[in-house]
Amino acid sequence: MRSRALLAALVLGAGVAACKSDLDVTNPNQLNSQTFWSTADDALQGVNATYNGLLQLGTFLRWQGFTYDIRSDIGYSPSPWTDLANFNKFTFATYDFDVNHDTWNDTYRTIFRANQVIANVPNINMDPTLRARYVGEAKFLRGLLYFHLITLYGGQVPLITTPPLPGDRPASSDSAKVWAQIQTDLTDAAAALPASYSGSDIGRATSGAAKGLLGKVLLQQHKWAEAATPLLAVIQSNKYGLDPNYANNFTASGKNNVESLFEVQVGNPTLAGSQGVYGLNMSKMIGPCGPSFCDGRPTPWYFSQFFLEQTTTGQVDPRLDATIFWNKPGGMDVYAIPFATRYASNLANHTPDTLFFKKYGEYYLATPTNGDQSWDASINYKVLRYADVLLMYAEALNEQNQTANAFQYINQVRARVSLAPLAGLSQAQLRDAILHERLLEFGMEGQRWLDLGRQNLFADLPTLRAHDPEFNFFVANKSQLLPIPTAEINLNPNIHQNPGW
Amino acid sequence: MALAIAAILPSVATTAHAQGGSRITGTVLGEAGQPLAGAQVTITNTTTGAVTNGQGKYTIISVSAGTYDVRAQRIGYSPASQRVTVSSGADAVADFQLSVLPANLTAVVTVGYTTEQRRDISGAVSSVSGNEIRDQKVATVEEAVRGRIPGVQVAASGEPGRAAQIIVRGQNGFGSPAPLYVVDGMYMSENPNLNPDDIESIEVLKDASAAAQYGAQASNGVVVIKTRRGHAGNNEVQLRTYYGYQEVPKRLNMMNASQWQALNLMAYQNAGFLPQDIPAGIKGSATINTDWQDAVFQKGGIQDYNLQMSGGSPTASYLVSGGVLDQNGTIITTTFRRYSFRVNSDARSGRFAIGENLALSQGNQQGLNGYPLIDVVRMVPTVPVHDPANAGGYGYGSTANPTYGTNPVGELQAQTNRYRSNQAIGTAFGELEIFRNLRYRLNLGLNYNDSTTTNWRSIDQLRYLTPNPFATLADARANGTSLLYENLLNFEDAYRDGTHRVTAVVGTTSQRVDYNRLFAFRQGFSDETLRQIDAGSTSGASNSGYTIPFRSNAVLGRVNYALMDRYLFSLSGRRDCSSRFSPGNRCGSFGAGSIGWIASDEHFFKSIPLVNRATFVKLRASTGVLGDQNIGDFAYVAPIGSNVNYIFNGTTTSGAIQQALANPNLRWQSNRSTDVGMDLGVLGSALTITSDYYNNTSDHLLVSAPIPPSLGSSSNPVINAGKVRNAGFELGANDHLGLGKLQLNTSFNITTTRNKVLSLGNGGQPIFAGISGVARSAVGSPIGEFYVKHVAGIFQSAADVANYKGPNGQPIQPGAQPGDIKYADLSNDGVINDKDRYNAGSGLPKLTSGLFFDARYGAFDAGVNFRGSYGSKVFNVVKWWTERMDDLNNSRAGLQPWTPTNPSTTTPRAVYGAAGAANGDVVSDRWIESGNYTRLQNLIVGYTLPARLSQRFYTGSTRLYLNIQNLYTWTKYSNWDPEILGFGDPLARGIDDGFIYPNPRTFTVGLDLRL
Repeated sequence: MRSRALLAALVLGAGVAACKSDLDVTNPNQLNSQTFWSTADDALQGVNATYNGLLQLGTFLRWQGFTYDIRSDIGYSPSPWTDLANFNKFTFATYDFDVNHDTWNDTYRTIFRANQVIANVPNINMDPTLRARYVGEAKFLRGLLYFHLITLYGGQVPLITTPPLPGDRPASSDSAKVWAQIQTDLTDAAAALPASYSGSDIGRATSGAAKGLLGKVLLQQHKWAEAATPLLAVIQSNKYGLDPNYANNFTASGKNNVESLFEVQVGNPTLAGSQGVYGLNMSKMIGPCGPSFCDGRPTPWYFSQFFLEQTTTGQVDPRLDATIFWNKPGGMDVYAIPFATRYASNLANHTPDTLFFKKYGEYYLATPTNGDQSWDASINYKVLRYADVLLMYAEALNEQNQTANAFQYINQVRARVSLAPLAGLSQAQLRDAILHERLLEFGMEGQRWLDLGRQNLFADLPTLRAHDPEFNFFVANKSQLLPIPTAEINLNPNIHQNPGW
Repeated sequence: MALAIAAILPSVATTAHAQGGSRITGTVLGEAGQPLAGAQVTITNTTTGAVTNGQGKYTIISVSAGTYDVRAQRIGYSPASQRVTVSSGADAVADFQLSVLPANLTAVVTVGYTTEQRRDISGAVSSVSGNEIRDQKVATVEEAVRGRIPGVQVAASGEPGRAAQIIVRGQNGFGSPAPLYVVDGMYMSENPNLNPDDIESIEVLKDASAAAQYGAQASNGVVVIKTRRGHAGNNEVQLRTYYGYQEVPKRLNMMNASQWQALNLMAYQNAGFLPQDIPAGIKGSATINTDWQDAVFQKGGIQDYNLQMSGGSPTASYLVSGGVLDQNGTIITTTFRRYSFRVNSDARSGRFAIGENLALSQGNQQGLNGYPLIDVVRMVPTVPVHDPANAGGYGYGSTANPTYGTNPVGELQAQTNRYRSNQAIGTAFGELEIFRNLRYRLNLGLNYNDSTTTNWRSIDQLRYLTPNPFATLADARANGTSLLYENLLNFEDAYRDGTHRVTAVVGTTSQRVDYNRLFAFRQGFSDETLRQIDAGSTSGASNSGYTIPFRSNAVLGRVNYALMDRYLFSLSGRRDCSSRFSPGNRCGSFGAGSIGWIASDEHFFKSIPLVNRATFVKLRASTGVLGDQNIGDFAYVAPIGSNVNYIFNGTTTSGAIQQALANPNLRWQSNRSTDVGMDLGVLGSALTITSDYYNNTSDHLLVSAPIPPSLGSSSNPVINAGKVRNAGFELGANDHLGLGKLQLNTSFNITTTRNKVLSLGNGGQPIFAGISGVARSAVGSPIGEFYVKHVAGIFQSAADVANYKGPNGQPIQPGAQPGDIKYADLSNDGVINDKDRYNAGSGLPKLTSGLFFDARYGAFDAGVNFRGSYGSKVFNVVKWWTERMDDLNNSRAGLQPWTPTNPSTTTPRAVYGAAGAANGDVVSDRWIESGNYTRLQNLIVGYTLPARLSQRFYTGSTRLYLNIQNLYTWTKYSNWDPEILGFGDPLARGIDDGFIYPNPRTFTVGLDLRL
């Protein structure tokens, strides 16, 4: 009996020992967050995926054209999509309206990616130089995205700098903290990033891009002297210049040109998202009626500004023809059809504002898709170009009472488009001249809303209303910031809505 | 069970006192006065007793003088006690007559890892025996259960080979309500493809006490299936076969061509069409008059053959069976064929026993394609089934008949939806009797399923202006391997003359499941007779594949303890560890306890007037917690999204990153289940009644919870936050009546169910599901309750429209015309919008019942079975098509829309196009109907040939029968079949969406031959 019991115990014991299935099962079909972030390749893929976050409607593919440009006095929206037209009148039926919702969500989704890189890559055993560079790239991107958030939503945005947990409910931050974080990120990035890349790395963030953006961030805070330092460093790097052909900056042929500090590298109609990369989507929204949807158009005031000054040879500022489709005497083709032909009925009805944005359109292609603008324009979006660095530096000098020293920088930008050099202006006059130069130089480049804010042009509402009647709906101390989307407010008890909303 | 008796008897025999004194003697008789051998007679609260001999006589020796309670008991009989006074030196006499316990009290029931007599069970367990299944002539296991078991719903349809869904005690969560199936010990998450002829018994473990041995997989209940085994005795050969046909029991009475033309002409005119703009097919005289139901429905043949041979000796037994089922559906092209083969055997030698069950089967199913049950009423009668003028030869809409209905015949013929599976289910066990009361058992199990699903679509055009650019083929190959490994120790013993009886099991169980799938898709076939992946064009091709591993381990235990045969206790526990959870949350403990009290065995019971008429009364209660690990695979870790690329210098460079937040704290969904019940036997236990009240609260249910967008997650993580309560009452009664040659069994059951969502955990936002989001799950309401606008009537005049004003004094439906539907402004805000929806009932029935009569008179037998379902609603999408009148669909004959001369108050005016759609198509209670029905489910008449006739040729018996299923249904539901519980989305039950195959009416004749 005893031996039998022993036998039974043995059988049972062996059984128990053998039956223990290994419960550590990982997903064999897909990488997961537990196994990722272990190799140099993981780090690289993570950084690349962070750049991919720029290819969303709410980051750089579409809506920045509305939040920074059409919403300003250079543009207006006659869109039949009432909510979109209302957005440009600072009016919402719901704060979850697409433009607002996409801008908020897509920006934070990309910040989540950058935070993953910044948190995880330092722990990977790999080439330390590359490791530092990857983290620098992610910090550059994070700085850029928070710059967007603070300039659109103000300092109350939650400042999230580590990958969150599902239970997190991040609180409203304040301007000082957000600005400080952006400056830290960009300073770190400038130190970690190389001055340039070669081969298939071209398009990554460089130290020049980080310094230029840092200058921009400081300038926006009126930290003129601090801003001047990194901007001058960019100028003195001698790595950048102005493309002799202004319009070249906004076509496929101007990709990563000498003027480019940082641009969003977009896809094309062939890819059309198939590999996770999309083309520039804004073109289809704000381009001319017919080939595009003309949901955002230039204000007549903006158009008129190009005629205030002629070139040294008595021509209209060439930047006009790169920026706006208009019924140009002598003719102008709109996607291979003459303006006067395409818009004959508008013109016959004496519609004076038959004007459309041209910049970032693929009008120059021999055969645009079905004669239409594709949703995936193959034109990189310039986030920061050297002309901006020059004008920002001029502004930084002028605001520091170094007006005389500032002319040389604005004049470089003017010279490219054959405008006579400026000289002998007072500080106030040069301030206006720089603003005016920026107005003509940067249409649809995401600058005007920043300019209005930085130079406090929102304070003069009657002037803005004269420029753009949509400003009749602008409410001081409210409309300068976007409302935080309803979904965020509803789900996050720790966040405050912006004033007035 | 034989072991249990063996364990008890020696202890009784050896404990009698061998010393002087008086004796107690007597006889123990059965109900009919026959002597009962082997009955135990004991003096209560002592170990003194004896066992009756072949004449039913017993003698207890060496009894001191005094007064004693003497108790007689025998398996299968109600125990009895009486008081005896023993004088010194004189024998006292105590005779007993024991009444038979009803069969369902003595039946041995498999409660998970233990077997118990029904009498001793203190949990909620219901059973169906193999004989009951075989008598019903059903093609699937679930149909055998349908209507038989209180608390069990079966969502079935008439689609050949379609596995039904069993739902035990309601919808417990937001996911699949499928119970765990345990077939001969093998765990299966899906309906097993079993031949009903092979089934010995089905037990449904409904409450926590019964199901707790299955821990983390038991929260939706457990269906334990045992297959037949051979028995000691002569070899036996059985041939069972039936042959018959099936049909759709009902046709909808649709308009003919000229009626349809008249209605649609009116619809076009009401929409303001000029005569020249009205399609020609509506105006001219109709030359074509297609009855689409005739074209789509058919009489489908069904035949079944099953041959079984079994036998055995006291030490070994075997059963071999093979069967073929061949079924053509009641809708053209649909078929099912199943081949099954089984070998069950066991052998015993001394203390060792081994056994195995092996079932091989192949199923071939050709299922539904498209939505033929919508198109069969939507398609207009002026379009022919076949039109040689069209490429492919099928008729469809044209400029003359601009309907966008799809040709339902073409849908079924030009497409295939073929599913073939090869399945092997095998279990093997070895058993060692270590001590007489302790056995070790090793269980091994395998379930292998290899399936091929092919979906072919020919290039033939089936719909107006919708050419099919190429033929397509999707071919999916999948295989799943599930392995089970268990070690069990079973203990069974009795002490002090059976005053204490204990059965217990402890053990470990582990499972390894691997599922693999490969999928290929091609479009463009130059020769459509070559329907293989290689024959398709590589342009537009796509392929995919994945594998999912799953592992689990558990330790389990259960103890049953019966004190004095009338105080019953059981305790179950299980600790489960599963690979579906993060390491910190991997294991969970589940357990349950139950108590029972057989009050009828108490001495005082006989003295309670009225109540003492009952021969058997058991009260029981159980409570416990069960788990559900169906949370999806790898759900606790966030996937790394790949193909998140970026272009550098013109080169696409690959990127990958986590885009969604995952919840690492995901854990089991749990179900706290409480049950109180009573089992009654009256009239000498000829009538038995079982009733239960249960209250189940499922907690930690998975819901997708929105999180602040600033966290940057591309989707919402799943969290354990939902809570749902199911409560209900179940009653089952069974009566046996024997009057000479007439034997009549009557059984009746009734179930009520109340379902309520207690919490959703996602900020209280309701979950919408089903077509147009018609089914809403909201806190305080049942899961998936229909949430629609209310039709308040029909506007009879312009004044009626103008007078229908909101609180602001403005007309609520200013654009409405006389004849349009007036919707109730339930939110009282002066406009009709989504806020005006209300809870209009759910697809879950409130009450279901079944009634069975089984009679035998001499050589004749007969069975009648009624089933009923009450309190459910059906959202009738088919009716939405037949009564919308804005889309050139066909309508039911007799539909009379509102006209100035026909002031209907229920049917709006007919308006073709957007205006009609805007008013009439609205998701409202106009499309909701009562789902109540009472169905004559089964009718069977059999005749067994006289032995003198059949035994001229062989020694067995021969039975012939006629069987009609689904003969008649009493219902007000306007479609083919009110039995619409629905498949697919458990959050949207009761939607008759055109994909629910009507349950057929089946006529069969059959032959059961026993050689």
